[in-house]
Amino acid sequence: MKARALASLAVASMVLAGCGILPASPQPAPSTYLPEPSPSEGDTPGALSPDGFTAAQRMTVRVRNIGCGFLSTGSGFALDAHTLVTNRHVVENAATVEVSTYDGRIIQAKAASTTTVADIAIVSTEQSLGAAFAVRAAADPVRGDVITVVGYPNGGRLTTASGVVLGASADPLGGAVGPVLASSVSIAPGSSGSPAFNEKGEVVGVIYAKNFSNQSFLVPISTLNTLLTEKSLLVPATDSCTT
Amino acid sequence: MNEPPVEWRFDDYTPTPRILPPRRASWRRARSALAIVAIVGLAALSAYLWSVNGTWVRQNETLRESASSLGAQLAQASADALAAQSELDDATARIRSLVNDEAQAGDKALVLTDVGAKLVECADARAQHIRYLNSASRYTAASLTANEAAVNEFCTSVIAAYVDAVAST
Repeated sequence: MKARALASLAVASMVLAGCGILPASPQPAPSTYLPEPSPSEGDTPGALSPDGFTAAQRMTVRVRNIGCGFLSTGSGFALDAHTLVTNRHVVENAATVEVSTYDGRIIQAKAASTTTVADIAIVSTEQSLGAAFAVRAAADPVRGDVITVVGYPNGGRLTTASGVVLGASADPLGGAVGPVLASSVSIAPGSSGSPAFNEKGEVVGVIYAKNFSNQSFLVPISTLNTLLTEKSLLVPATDSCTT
Repeated sequence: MNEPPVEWRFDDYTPTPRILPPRRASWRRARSALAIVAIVGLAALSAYLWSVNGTWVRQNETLRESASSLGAQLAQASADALAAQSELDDATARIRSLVNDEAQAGDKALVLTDVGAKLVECADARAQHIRYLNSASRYTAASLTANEAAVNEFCTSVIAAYVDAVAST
């Protein structure tokens, strides 16, 4: 008798306790499975424009130096709608400087300023260079950092090449005041003035030379930042055909 | 003075009704109530579980159908995206090629324009030299020879530049 009573109690306890762990009915299924739109990445340097070009490619321009009896090409990149950065030697002795954008627009340069501190020139234009502009890094890259260079080697097609920073070095051409950066990025004549980007898409340097070991050299972004801050270091470039 | 023993007689026995203690009776009632509660509870639990199971099964079927449909849509969208990406890559390559062709053509046009101007200078220099020769009595032979050599050197370099420019087009 006593055992049966205990069994009944146990059953009742189990029934009552079971209510606490009973599976619940499913929640109503969602009416749509479409994800919420994510924040646009259209403003980042790596983002593609509708025509399939990245911001880094859109801000990079081909520079044509039409001198008196010679023609040379280089690269550059837009700082804003009417200002671009290239190398001093790219626009040196120019009668006219023309800029070609990634989509084939040809823009006449209005004026150029150069400096003796580094192989840098700042060129201004009447027409707009486009809508993609350089975001300058606050600090120079260090040894081992991966960089990507976008430019027009040999005056040809818009090209992207990657490598790593090999470290600070003295200017192999002996013209720069401060140290420059050596990198493993393979470049060619015509790449001069190309922007070098870090992995965040910020400009960390400006390509200006290479050596026989196929190492390339960059003007570090800190030098460019200083030049853009200290405008007195920049002087107007002279027209070689009138001097 | 001893009293005589009382004789016990069987006839004196009258059976009394058997009455359980009150405590055992209430226990039995409680036990019965518990059993009824347990049976009702189990029945309710079974009904609930059956209902919940049915709901889960129905929703599972709905979700499976929805997942299958979305999977098909996703596969189609992925295929469309790949095709669009391929077309975009082709278009981008085409743009690069056209921009490059335009830039090269611009370079060559500038070079040819420059060479053309130099050819005009060459022709002018030769015409001038012919005028010198027509008035040769006014000049020394050495100066005429020197001028001819200079004009020829200039024109040779211009013609070489022209040949190079044409060859590269």
